[in-house]
Amino acid sequence: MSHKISASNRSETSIKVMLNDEQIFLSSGLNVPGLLQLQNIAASSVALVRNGQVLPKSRWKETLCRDGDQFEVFALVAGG
Amino acid sequence: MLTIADHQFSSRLFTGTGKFSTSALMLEAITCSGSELVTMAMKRLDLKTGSDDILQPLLSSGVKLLPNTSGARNAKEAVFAAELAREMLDTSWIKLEIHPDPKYLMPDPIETLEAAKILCDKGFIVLPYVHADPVLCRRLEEVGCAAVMPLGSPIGSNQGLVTETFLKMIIEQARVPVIVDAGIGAPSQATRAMELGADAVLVNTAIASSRDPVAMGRCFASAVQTGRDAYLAGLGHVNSVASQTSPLTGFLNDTM
Repeated sequence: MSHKISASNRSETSIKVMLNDEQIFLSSGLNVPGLLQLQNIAASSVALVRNGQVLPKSRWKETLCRDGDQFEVFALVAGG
Repeated sequence: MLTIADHQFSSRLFTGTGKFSTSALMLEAITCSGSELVTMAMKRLDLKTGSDDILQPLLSSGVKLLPNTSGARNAKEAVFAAELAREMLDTSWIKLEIHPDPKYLMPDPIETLEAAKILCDKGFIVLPYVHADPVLCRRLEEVGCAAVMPLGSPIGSNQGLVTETFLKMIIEQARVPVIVDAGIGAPSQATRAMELGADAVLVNTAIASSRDPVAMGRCFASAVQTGRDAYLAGLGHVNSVASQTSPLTGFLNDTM
């Protein structure tokens, strides 16, 4: 049994994740940098929380989005 | 040179990035102020409007960024915010601020000390924003904070050094740098803080809300330098009675 997802069936396998309270439907097998790219979020300047835990940047590539995941993206803003 | 943790600063004026009317103005004002340490906040990204995109210009300008934990209402949230900041900026420096009261933004001393302990244990360089409480500042120093940041008056109030008596005690006792933060509303107040022996001041609203923030940034730069120079030169004692500066020979009485 192969766990590989081919390009043809990727679009058929849809999952739902939450990103800052917005529902997003994705193809399964997408990793975290892929999710950010899809949402036009510059990966260099944000931090990510996945299911209540800070997800270190060193683990983004290996982390695949799973159905029901709750992501929160934080960015820097002006402040004193 | 001022040294905090292992970092040296040639300017003793630290600045915030909030309340400027435009990012370009903020950048120019900070550049003209000579500030080398600049605070920033964090928030959940609005997916519709995106981010302010002020990070890259600031990084390019060469200043060191100091993320804060503003918005945290307790120690747990502040630790979480610090971990987010570390991921975001790849820095272990954090301005620890916990102020659950929205009216006066008074920092919560108990939660701040608790968070400081945890963050210092985790290897963060912790700069806590606190009330001008000499006992609390000693406790924060003991748990490993790299500096203390007592307030002059409420955040953004421009009231100046309302806490001067207690700032003097903190400065006298501290073995870590003392950065007077919050409430400094005029360059003369920054000078005063530095004359007292503060190691640095942090200014945001006074620059950002002035009519000409770029010029005001320059004013604060020279005010801080003047105050530091005066501190090093050693202020004279304050007396309750007059002390003559010219000889009182009483010659008029002798001749008339």
